[in-house]
Amino acid sequence: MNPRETPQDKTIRVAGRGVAGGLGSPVAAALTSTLFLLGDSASCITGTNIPVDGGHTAK
Amino acid sequence: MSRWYSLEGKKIWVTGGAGYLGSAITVELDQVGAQVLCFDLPGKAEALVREHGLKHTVPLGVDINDAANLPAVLESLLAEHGVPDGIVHLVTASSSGKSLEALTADEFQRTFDLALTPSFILCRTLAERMKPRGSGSIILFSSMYGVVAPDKGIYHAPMVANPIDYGASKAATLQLSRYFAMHYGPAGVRFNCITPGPFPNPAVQRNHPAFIADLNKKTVLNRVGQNREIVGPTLFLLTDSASFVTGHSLVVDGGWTIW
Repeated sequence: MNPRETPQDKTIRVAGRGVAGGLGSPVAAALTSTLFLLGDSASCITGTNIPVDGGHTAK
Repeated sequence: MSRWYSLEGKKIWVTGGAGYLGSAITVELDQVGAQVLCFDLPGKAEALVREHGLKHTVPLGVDINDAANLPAVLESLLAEHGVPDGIVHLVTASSSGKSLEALTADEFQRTFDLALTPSFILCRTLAERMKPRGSGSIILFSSMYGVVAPDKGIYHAPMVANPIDYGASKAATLQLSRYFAMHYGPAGVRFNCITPGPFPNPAVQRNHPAFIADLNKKTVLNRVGQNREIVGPTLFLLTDSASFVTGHSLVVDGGWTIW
């Protein structure tokens, strides 16, 4: 993937009560869609939500 | 590259892989080292491979819409190329192009036959083959008009509003994706939809500036999408970055459907 389309070298502030663990932790962020939505790969995406729920909301 | 993003060496099939959206996806997959099978009308996939000097892409002139022959075609491809890791299925964009008043019942039915039945066969056949391996990602393509109705005010004669058969088949595609996700989730095979907003091809962008201006106003970002902007969402859903994302419709519409 083109490096310009990733959050590499971008300044990202991670805020919120869960920063130290759970969904706010960098590890969890890497595991979910967070990085995708931060980068230019998602340049035509706004106002949407991506459930990262293993299909819980699909049935 | 992080393994979360890597598709290097992965076998990815792209149907409609030489069209306006598909070509951008195929080229990027090739450049990141995926082993790509690019399906399109005879000659189109070959031209794309030649034009871009693609090194990892096999062009195929296969009629995916021929439901009667599709099972045999798929078995032959599986025997020759093996079970794919991912599928990007763009060949569902069928439409009568007719107004609601002019559309016949046969034309309405024909769109469903072309858009849905081959998708059902392709998805079930390939998911069944992915199941023993316990992994796979299959992406279908819906549309904003599978979510909302077209605004007739932006379609001026001789243009007709986006046809009802198109939107209805795209809404059904969303449900195909959810049902398959439910059925094959326990086997580790993920199904998702990309739901694009306005992505007019370059000829439309060039020749219909007033229409493009109207499309622009319908999005929050105040512009239409370019084909390169469908690439990131598609690759995201193919990779392990989306390993817990299934049964989802990823809306790539510049905000068209949020207001």
